[in-house]
Amino acid sequence: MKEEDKKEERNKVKQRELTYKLIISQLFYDGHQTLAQELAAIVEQEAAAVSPSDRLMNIVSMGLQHEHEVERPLNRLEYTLGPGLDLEFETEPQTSAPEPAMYETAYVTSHKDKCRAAAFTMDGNLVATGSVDASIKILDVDRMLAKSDPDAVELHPDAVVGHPVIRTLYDHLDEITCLEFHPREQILISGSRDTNIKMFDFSKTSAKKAFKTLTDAEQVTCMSIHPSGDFLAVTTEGPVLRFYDISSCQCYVCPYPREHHTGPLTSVRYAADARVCATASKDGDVKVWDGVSARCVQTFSKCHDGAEVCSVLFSRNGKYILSSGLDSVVKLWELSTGRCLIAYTGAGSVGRQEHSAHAMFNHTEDFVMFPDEATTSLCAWDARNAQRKNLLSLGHNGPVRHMVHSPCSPAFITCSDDFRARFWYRRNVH
Amino acid sequence: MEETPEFGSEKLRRAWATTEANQHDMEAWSLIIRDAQNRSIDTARCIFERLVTTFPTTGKFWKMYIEQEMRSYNFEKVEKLFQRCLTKVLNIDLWRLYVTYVKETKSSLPTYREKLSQAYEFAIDKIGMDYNSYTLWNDYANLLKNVEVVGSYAENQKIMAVRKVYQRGIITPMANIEQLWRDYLEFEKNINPIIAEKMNIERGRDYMNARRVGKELEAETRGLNRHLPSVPPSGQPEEIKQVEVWKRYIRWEKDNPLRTDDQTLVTKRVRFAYEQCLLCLSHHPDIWYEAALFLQESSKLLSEKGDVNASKIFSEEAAQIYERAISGPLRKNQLLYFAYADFEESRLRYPEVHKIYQRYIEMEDIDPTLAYLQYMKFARRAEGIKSTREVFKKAREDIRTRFHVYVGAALMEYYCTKNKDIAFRIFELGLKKFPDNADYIMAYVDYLSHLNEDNNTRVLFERVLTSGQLKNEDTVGLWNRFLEFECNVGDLASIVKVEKRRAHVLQKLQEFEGKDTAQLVDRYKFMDLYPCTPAELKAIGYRDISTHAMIINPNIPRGLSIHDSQEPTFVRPDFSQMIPFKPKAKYIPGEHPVRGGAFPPPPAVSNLLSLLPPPNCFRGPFVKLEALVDLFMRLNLPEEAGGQWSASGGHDVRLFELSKSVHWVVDPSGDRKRKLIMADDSDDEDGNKPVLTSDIYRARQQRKMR
Repeated sequence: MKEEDKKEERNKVKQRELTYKLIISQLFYDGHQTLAQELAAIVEQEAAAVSPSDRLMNIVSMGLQHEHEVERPLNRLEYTLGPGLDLEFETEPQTSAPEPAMYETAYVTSHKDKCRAAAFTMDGNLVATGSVDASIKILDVDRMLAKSDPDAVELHPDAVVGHPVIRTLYDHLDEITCLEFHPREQILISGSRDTNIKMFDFSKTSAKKAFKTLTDAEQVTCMSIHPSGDFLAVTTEGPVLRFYDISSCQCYVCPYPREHHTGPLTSVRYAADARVCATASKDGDVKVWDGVSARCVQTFSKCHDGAEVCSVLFSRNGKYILSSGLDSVVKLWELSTGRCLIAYTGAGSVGRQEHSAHAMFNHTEDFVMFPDEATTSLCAWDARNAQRKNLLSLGHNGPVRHMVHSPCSPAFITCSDDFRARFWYRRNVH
Repeated sequence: MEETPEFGSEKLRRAWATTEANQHDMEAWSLIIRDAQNRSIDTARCIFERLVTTFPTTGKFWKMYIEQEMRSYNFEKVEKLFQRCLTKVLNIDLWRLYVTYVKETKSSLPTYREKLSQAYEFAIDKIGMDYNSYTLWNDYANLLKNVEVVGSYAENQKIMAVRKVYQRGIITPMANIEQLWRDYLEFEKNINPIIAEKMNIERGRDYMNARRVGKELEAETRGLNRHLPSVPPSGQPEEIKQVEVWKRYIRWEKDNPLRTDDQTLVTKRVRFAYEQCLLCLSHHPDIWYEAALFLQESSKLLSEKGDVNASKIFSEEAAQIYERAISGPLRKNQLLYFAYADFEESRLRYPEVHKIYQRYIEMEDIDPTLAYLQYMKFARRAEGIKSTREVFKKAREDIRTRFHVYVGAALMEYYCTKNKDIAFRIFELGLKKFPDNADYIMAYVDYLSHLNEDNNTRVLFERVLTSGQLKNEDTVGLWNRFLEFECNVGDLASIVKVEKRRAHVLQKLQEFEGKDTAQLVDRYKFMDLYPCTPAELKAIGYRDISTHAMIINPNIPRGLSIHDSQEPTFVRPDFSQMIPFKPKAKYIPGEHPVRGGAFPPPPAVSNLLSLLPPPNCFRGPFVKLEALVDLFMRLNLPEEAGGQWSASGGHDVRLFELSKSVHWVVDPSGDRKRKLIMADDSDDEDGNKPVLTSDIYRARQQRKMR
């Protein structure tokens, strides 16, 4: 087995060499001598040994003819939303997703204190927002849209629409720092600075109190529910990532002290298939943990040049991690090679970012978004080539501390220190 | 299409080109529409024309077009546009625009009021059922109220007219129905308070009913987007959701939410719901079919009840629905044609059926094979075999038909006229036309072998397999069939012979080299029974040779297909590889390998702990430890303890006697001062003295004694 792996590795290296050689000869062939020589110098290829040839061009055209024959299996989500971000297969897909700058505020909800947490359900029908005032609201997306539909408001001012806020939950003693919906049941999970994680069954209209509480000893900063809904990965102000078994309330950790972070944790995300999960820490590292044994399998150390890392996020296929740091740079990491593939720069150019902020993908993973603190606007990039897109002014009167995009529709929610959460939506144009 | 309009920017030109390539591209259209709204109507007209021909059911686009024309006072054109769209597109906004248009443009006419009230009457008749039709009702009532009349007769007429409108309005579920009801009562009060009171009682129940249904209607249609342009199904999640909501709404209407006995009203409401739905989903054949089916069924229901006229009307309407469907966006959908034909057949209108089939077959760019087959089946049912032959003749002359028609016709002849020869001749005729089609030959072989014409079958096999017109790959299926045939009717020698010949062909295909055993399996298998176990089959290298034959053996393991697994399975954490952890605020270094916590008690202990009452429940007695230990030291336990005690269920008095002999070391919680109480002292007086309430054990013992 090992032998084979080695062989494959060697073959890969050889093939890479061949590819460079082909590129160089193609450049010679097309008359870009200087470029070819430069490249040859970089990859340490004997430039003299390469003859100008059109072979690469031929191979590419042949390959393109047969590319569609190699079909990738699509799961249901991919079928409806498109394949998402996958740089191995397609680099310039046709996108139908609206650019982030075209989103509009559809609804604004207000808390009595700074708004710090939000979450979407898997089907994108509900959102929850949490605040420093320890309250949680659950809002119905359809109703928010109906309230703000310009057609409806203009034409039928008399139509009756139910109030978008369908539940208010109040069981914590301190700031709500993170929220997650259970993937199957009507359960909302909240983490708070009061060191507790609470679960609310919101199927009943009268629900106010939690039906289950997990008690930690440190302030909870972030959590991610296992896609099966049975486990919870939790990060706190301490450096240790915890895994909770929801049914037994037992807590487990990785047994090897040196694999843990050295600073407070800020963010944790499970990959969609739960094979791995990733954490970000104030010590500047991003770590990837095995989903079965909870051992650290990969560390991206000082990945934001030593700045605190504020958020991590997996792409849907689990091949990439999107991280953001206090240096206002968003980076895309490839898991298989452990490299930073793309850095999305340009945010934070007006003024230094002081609070943590979250980067996110849109629902089709065609765009990357990150709030700029100094201008309170949303920076957006093309996820594949880091091209800057138009800014979207977020209209908040304070820094945007949290934001989350709907998993299946052009909608996201921004939470700000001005006590408000704004729901953004891109309506179908017709 | 017609000429390309002038566009100012490259972006628009590109958008226009996109819409020409894919006429339902909404992104491109939205750009064009936005531009067109800022143009003068003369240059925008061709754009709008194309828009409304592409989306003939979208009220919003018609409205834009008409508004644009109205802005430049082209009233003749407006009139024509209204004629084109109004009755087909039951969109409340479009109808409101129409009424406004009549109000504004006809005011100079002497017959203004009549015209306007006609317009209102028309609108209410068509779209008064809409949830948002309140303004129409209200405006109409106000219009009638404001008519100036002279004379008591005319006055009475006016009151009657207004009352009629109100009374129709207040039983229609819609938004703001409460306001309409209040206005109505007000109106009646101004005329005659006594009548008003009477009306209030009389109509109140119907109104309440309508109001309730109105509320339900709002809930049912929540999330419904009535302005969505109709585009072909794309399977987008948003679209699926819309279809679901529409279907839910229609189902709700079918359940008769008004709880009325008037079947006509129910049907009308459902019909209205379907019409609304079809404006948005006109490319969905299922909606069309269900709409027609519903009308068909309610027509039947009414005719059973004896209402022949209404039944006839609904039956006609069902036909109209089909007619609209196949002349509209779904003019190439065979399903609807066939359903329509069957519907007409059930009404015994055979000429119509002929026309329907011919209409489909006469279209240019289609494959008419299936249509011919259905047509033939209909002809046989309705008019007998002669008519079928006519159809078959026509099908033969049509160059687009495929071999299925021959198979269908031959089998029909055989089954219906029981005439083998005609069927045989048809098959032969087909063989001349399709000598290279393995599927056709297979059907022919099936026919012959089922007739037990062994020799003929053999001849046919020989003929087609040696003709050389079939490709080698295609013959594999036939060879398999030949082998099976010989296995069933031939002798062993001929079986082996055929097998050899088949092997020869397979060798040419270079697929089964050296797998003689695998080929032998074919001789012995029967349907899905195999002479080996699946694992053995796999080891032999057996694989269904006849990839052409559709028999798929589920026993032979195939490659895992990822698509099939609906419920994804997730990797689950293995807690045995981690260590339990109990987060602790005050962490003692070294307490746990990982900082910030301690080991939790083992699961069994923590389970026990969770069952025990919390510590604050315990209020004593408190034990003096030294004394207790001392006591244990001095305690002499009986030798044969177990047997004796268990005999009396563990509650032996002796146990207490034993306990009495020792000094009790308890501390009542009341004064928290621990004192030693002599057991003998208290025992003597326990009948008279009040027992310390905190001493639970004592209390229990006392209760037992009494």
